[in-house]
Amino acid sequence: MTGSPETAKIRQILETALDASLNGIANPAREQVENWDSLTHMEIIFMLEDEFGVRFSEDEIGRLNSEAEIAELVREKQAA
Amino acid sequence: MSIQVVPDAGAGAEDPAAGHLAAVAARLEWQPALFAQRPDRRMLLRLKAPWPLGPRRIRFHRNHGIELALSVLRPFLEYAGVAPEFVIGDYDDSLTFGALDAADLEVVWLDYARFADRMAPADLADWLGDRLRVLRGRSAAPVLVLDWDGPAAGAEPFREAFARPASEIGGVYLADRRELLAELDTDYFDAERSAVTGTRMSQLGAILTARLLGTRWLPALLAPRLKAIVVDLDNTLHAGVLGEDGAAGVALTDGHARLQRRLLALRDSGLFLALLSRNDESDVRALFATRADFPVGWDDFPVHRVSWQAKSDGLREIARELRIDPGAVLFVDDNPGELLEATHSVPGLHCLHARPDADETVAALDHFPGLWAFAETREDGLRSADSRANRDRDAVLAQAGEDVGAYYRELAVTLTVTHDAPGQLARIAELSGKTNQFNLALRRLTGAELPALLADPRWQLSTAQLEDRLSDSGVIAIAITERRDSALIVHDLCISCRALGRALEDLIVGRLVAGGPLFAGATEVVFPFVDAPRNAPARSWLARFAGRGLPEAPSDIVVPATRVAEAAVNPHVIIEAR
Repeated sequence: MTGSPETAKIRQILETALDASLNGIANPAREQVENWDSLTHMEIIFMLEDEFGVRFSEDEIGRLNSEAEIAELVREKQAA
Repeated sequence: MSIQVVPDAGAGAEDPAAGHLAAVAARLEWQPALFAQRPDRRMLLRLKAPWPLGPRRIRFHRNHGIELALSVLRPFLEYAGVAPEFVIGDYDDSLTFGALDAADLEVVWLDYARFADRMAPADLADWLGDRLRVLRGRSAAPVLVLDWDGPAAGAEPFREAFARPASEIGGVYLADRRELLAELDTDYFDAERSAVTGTRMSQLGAILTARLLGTRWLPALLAPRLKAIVVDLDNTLHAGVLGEDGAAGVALTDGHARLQRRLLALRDSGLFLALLSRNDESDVRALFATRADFPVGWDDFPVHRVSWQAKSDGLREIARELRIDPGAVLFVDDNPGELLEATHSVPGLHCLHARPDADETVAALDHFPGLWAFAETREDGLRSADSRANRDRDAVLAQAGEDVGAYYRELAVTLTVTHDAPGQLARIAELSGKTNQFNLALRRLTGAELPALLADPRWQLSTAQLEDRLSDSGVIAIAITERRDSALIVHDLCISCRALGRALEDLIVGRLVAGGPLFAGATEVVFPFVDAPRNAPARSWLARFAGRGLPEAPSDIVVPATRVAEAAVNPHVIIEAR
């Protein structure tokens, strides 16, 4: 999914929620972005669900901790 | 929409005019995101206001997770001109409040289902009333309480039981979510997610509640209500251009019919409607005369400006005729260029872009900050007819010439004054909060402050109602006075703009102040005055009444009590007291 339109949309969502540019960061992850807190995490989840028409389970919400993990799970859900 | 003004963050600093236009263009661009049927969280979070904002401290008392609603509340409040500082307490089912510092507004936002197994809805409302009395003891700010969101059967018992403490405490307002809950039904909730969000509210429920908070409930408590909606005709009230399509050719779509009906409902809620169109007046009159399918008629607009002049000139004339400040006007037009020209030339004017799909304009009117009000007073229903009557009054006044007494007699002008009437508190708060032009001290007293003043024998809360054979103007003036030794301090004095221009100001002030129970034995009356851009009529009156110039700094203007007593007499006006 790298370089796909979906990845670009995920990056836009992360930048909107984090209110920051992620230029130069290959795979933004929760542990490396200071303001990716629990509230921001839910903002990201809601925006991903709206954008891709999917719904994440409580367990999945806890596992989506980087752009790559998000892209992977979105791809899986869209394929299902 | 295509607007040839590129918002530039730095434009305003170098060129104020360009900065202003960029800000107005940005406001128009925000409309689709704010007023969509289902606003998109990502679009909302990306909005950042390039226009000036006023800071407001809003404190939330809650027992569930409201943060995901507050994040999207910000853009709605920015659209209303507010830079919010949210103060969010810990989850607290018991509403202990603790020590509170200053805030502009207190919001109580409870998940009532958390109490369901402990209290019946009416008992919960009683308990909440007790807790709000405690809150009132610690904060003078208005209190907004989001109403029942528990099982539907509990809604009415809760509201019924809550009405009494809410009215007793003063300054407590119930945010009515019934329409929203009915519309979304089970979609308002997402209990499955509550473990991670901290609330039963769904994402959609949070966004739509935030919109009501940011566009209706909070603006209604933080700023005076707008007073007039000025609407364009072509491609606004109908689809098509009258001058090209003719009266029979312009289309009343279902959306435009809904828009016209919504405008009438807003008029009935107390707002003035005015028509502003570049057309020949005879064509527009013929349109309204022949199109029986139009819900609105020519006479539904107390003021019209149909000509080929600049719309900014027409807007200024309309405001002048309605005797309101242009800053209290919302201008609705389908042409962004007209909106930009008008807002550039008429400072403070609010504007709304009428969309090709008129239902989008309806949605925008439903949520435009400053149009919605909590409780409609008797005066809201009287306003439009009263304003129409002003034209006839002006004619009688012109005919009377120098003999103003003849004007009063001809119209049977009657002034009815009350002092310390509990039933007038809502109207007193309304006039104190919204009067701009004849407002001496700009105290902006809220409903929360008035019950204590009413109970204090040193204070006098007075109202004046004006009526003549043309119309009942309702309560058009208030004075809030305090007796201190031999002086009477007029802390708040407001006269509605509708009552100005009838040469009655002296009599109204005289009856309000000297006709009350605290006046006996007073030797002087003190009028605190605060200068502001919009209260020039108050300044002019006080300077004339006191017989002296007024300083620019806030000042206390002292007038002999005998001067006020003399003003309270006018043999040509019928005086009644209640």
